[in-house]
This record gives sequence, structure tokens and C-alpha cells, in this order.
Amino acid sequence: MSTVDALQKALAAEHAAVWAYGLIGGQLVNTARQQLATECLGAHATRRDALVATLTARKATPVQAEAGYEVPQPVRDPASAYALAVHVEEGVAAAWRAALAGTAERQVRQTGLAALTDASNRAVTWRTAAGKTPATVPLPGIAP
Amino acid sequence: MPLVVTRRRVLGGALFGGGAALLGSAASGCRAPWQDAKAAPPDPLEALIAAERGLIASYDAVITALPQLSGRLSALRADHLTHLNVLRRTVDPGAADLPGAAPTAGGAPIGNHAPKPGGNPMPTDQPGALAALATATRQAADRFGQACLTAPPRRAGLLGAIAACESSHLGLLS
Repeated sequence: MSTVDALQKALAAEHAAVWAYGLIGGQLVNTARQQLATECLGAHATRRDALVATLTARKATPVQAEAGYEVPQPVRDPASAYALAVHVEEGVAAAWRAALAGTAERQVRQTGLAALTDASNRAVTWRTAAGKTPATVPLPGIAP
Repeated sequence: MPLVVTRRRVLGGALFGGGAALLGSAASGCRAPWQDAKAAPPDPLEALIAAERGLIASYDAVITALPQLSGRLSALRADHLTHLNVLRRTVDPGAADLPGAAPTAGGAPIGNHAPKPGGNPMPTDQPGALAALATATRQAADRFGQACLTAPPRRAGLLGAIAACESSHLGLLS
């Protein structure tokens, strides 16, 4: 995998995350959790925009967002919304973890590490909201 | 397996011009000191393995002193045990997993938490103990993060994942 490939895969994951949080926010009734979903959406949009800029600077055409994405289960209530949020953060974590292995560039690694850490933290928050224990996973972004 | 590079100092023949006896003893299997291969540098993962052992030992010290925290801390301790075993297998693919149970559950101690001279033992009050675990965890997150930045690609993902996991513990230790 080249650095550009790694960044494109991360961008694809961030596009999916931005889309998913629109769905998630629509199902939450708890104000604090709605606020959290809004913040998560914003964070993923920021990462997306940074990736678009980075890829453009490298003369690559940034991968585009899909019109819609498949979800593992229908999102129709807070519980299924929390489950999707966990799933999203795990997917984003996997893409950034792969990006770390896909580049030797220090700056890209720094970005990847920060993004992986953020996704791990958010996954813990959403697992806690879902009442899932344990709330942590030992190796975020690596399939168990 | 990491590539092991040894450097053998090559000595000029003149040094041994009259040293037949020394050469004889070398040939029979006794190694003269200068013939020792310069030791291969230790795998950088060894220091990180030691760090995880230290964290597990800290958890065990806290759980022993404050058993009411056992439920809260055992899942976090389990993450560190996974880190330890994965790192050990990365260095030595044949390494067997270390047994999991905390000493309070009958397990053998994993790390050495004997306080170093001038070092601090774990606090025995709950807020102090949790703060000490958080500090140690934050330090581990930084160490694994730094290692991730400069690791060969095949290790960067693992080290980043461990760093991220340590960070994700902090919210649960406050």
C-alpha cells in the first residue's frame, strides 16, 4: 500500500462516518448524546477535509463519498444508533490503523495515530452509552 | 523475526603473529574476549514489553490493596495482558501466552513492582491509586505513540493500536 492508498482508504472511512452520524443523530433523544453525535460528525468532517487537502496536494484525486452506505442493522432507536456509532468508530479505527502500516512518513503517522486514538476514545464513549462491557478493546483498529 | 546483525571485529593477523597458544585455545572452543561477537542490539519491543509488565504489576498492586476496584480495573488489566502477549509473540512467535489471573485471583505476579530506590509505591487510597494508574497509562500511551512513529511499517499498526488503547483507558481511570 502506498501512502496515497492509505490516505484514500482513511478518507473513504471518514466519508462513511460523516454520513452515518447524520443517521445516528436523528435517532437520539438524550440531549447530551445528541450533542456528542454532533461533535463526532464535526470531528469526522474535519478529518475528511484535511485528507482531501492532503491528497489534492499530492496530485491525487480524493475518493468521493457514496450517496449512501449499508448499515449492519436498521437504525430506528437510540440503542441501534449507539450500536452504529460503535461500528463506525471501529471502522474508522481500522482504516487509520492500516494507514499507519501503509506509510513510513512521520507526519502521516502522526495524523494516523491521532485519528486512531480519537476513534478509540469515541468507541469507548459509545460502548458505554450502549451499556456494553467491556467498554474498551485491547487493539483498536485490529480485528480480534 | 527481526533481522539480527552482528558485528565481529576483524583483527589483523600481526596481533596474533606470536600467539599460537591463544589461537590454539580459541580453536579448541575457548573464546578470547575480543572474539565475542558484538551483541545484537536488543529488540526495541523489549522495553515496551517491560512497560506493559510494569503496568500490569501496578494494576495488581492496586487491586490487592483496594479489592473493591477489582471489577472496575480487571477489564483494563486484561487489555494490558493482551498487549503483553501480542508484543511477546511479535518478538518470539513461539512464545506462550502468560497466564491471565491477577494475584488476588490466584495468578502468578507478572511484573516486578518492587519500588526502585527513590521510586514511589502505588498509593493505597482510591483516588491516589487511580491517579497513579492514569499517570502510568498516559506515559505508556506516549511511549507506544513515539515508537509507532518510527517503527517499521509492519509494527507501526500494532504499536499505534496499543497507544490508542492506553489513551482510551484514561477516561475510565478518573
